Amino acid sequence: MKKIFSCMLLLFISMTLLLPTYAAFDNPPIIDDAGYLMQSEIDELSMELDNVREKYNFEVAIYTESDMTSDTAEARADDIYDYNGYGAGENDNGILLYICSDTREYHFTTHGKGLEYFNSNGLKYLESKVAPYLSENDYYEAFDIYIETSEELLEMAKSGKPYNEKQYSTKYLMGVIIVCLIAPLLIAFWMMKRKLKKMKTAVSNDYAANYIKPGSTNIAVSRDLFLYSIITKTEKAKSSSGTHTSSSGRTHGGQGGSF
Amino acid sequence: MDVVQNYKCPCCTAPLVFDAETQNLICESCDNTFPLETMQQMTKGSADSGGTSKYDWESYTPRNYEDTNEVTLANYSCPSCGAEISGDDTLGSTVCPYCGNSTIVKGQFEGTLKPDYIIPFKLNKKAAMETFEGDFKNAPFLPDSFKNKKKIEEMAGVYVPFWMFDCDCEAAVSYNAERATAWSDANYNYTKTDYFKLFRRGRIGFANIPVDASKKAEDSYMEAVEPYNYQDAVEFSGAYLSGYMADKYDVSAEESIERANERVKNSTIEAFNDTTNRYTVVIPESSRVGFSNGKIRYSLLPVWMLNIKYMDKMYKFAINGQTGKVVGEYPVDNSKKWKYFVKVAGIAYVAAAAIGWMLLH
Repeated sequence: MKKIFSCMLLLFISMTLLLPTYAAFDNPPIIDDAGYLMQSEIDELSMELDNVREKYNFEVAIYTESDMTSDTAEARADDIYDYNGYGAGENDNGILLYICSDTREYHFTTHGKGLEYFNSNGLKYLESKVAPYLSENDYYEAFDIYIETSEELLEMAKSGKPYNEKQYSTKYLMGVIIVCLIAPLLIAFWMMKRKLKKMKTAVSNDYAANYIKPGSTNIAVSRDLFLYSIITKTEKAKSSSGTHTSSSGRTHGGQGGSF
Repeated sequence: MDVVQNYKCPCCTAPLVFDAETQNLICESCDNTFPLETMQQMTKGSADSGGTSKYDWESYTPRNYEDTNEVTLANYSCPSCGAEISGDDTLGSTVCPYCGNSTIVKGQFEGTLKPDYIIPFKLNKKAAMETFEGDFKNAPFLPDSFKNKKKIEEMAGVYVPFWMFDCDCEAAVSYNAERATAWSDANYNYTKTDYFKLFRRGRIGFANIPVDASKKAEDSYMEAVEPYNYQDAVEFSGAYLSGYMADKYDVSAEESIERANERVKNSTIEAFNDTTNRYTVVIPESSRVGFSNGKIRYSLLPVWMLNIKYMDKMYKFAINGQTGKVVGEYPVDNSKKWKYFVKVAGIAYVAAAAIGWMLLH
């Protein structure tokens, strides 16, 4: 009887030790159905994710699979989040990184306070950190940097100033810098050329408009024949960041792409 | 369906076929439909504006100068550039108004061709000089020392010979034109480009188009110094030459016609182009210009010729002796020019930095 009691006490103590870990979260932090990680890696990353989740009382999760059942990675990520009980606190605050191995697509979905903490600029920053590792198939590093950057952003949000710096592609940055460097020179050169023209006024006049007899212009035939039309349709550039409504009717933020 | 070989699709140039049901011509290649009437009008319009332009000028019959003893005339020739100038006998020793290089040599007056009319000088030498100096403010990079250090080698009032052309011009021009409209819905941006064929046919009258008839007077200077007000034109009299020089033509009317044709054609097409401004893109396809009632007259127009030496280089200017319009080529102060460049670039860099900052924040 004493033995049974001791065993029950031990079980209770171990339960109480374990309870805080999963107390606020229904799901394990990593579900790797795509099989990217070894068990030891899952354990290690889970521990890191748990630390973050508990420290900020905020869902930070990873979900990978090989087949995508929804039309888009965004819809699938939202559905996983909404129908599997992800999220922390009253508003189910959190972020989930979804990856589909077949289509090689990834998507970060956010909900609740996640929309504010991981705003569009924050998500772009997070993406700029994670995506390069995904492209190199270095999933462990990708997830590790995802956890690290999420913590960084959550820490900023905790201090009252969520990350909000605009993220630009190198191409855009270079474009702006080059235009800002070259355009003033071109403008100055063009203005100087215009002024230089005033220094040489002895130039030929190829027209005789000054000599048209007043009232003599009579256009007798003015026919405009319509021939045909061509309509071109281009898809609007869609920012995958920003808020949208998922199939469950809840509001999500997100950012995604292919790797 | 029968293949209509005569008509080609304006869009893709494939043969058009006649559709009996709709009574239209259709293109099986690009699926466009064209009313038969449109294609007929297009073919007719293209034929109108095609072909060669015809310029019908009457020939010029020279009239001999009749000495009325109003003024004693003499001939002057430049040993350097070969200019042959007439003037009154009292001009005395003077420098060639065209090249400014050497003193012209007085000779016996040998008679010259009588102009149909002349526009007398309205600006005397002093007024012309004031007008010239007043023009300095329009030359932004003029060296400050130009005003004081310039040396006027020669300033002469010259009646420059011009051929004057009058004509009624009939032209037909065809254009390919496009008009674009754009709109968008939630997912797509749309651009609709409508393609048109435009035809314009009409008449324009031109009067007194001047073409420089002197080889010595540079064409660019003489065209730039235009226009003249022909209300002041009077019948030629030798008395107007008193105190001035008069060049006589050494470019024939026939040689000048080409330049008149070019200017008339350009201006006619330009006037027709003004009627096509409701289109986004207008490309002239073909044009045919014909003249009628082409008349040529010989006239003398007043020009002050200035040859100015500055820093061992000669600068030529011409001033319209009637309106005071100054043309020429001023010396350029490079330090002023580059200072202006740096100033504008500086302002532009500040603006670019502000725009760049806004784009990146």
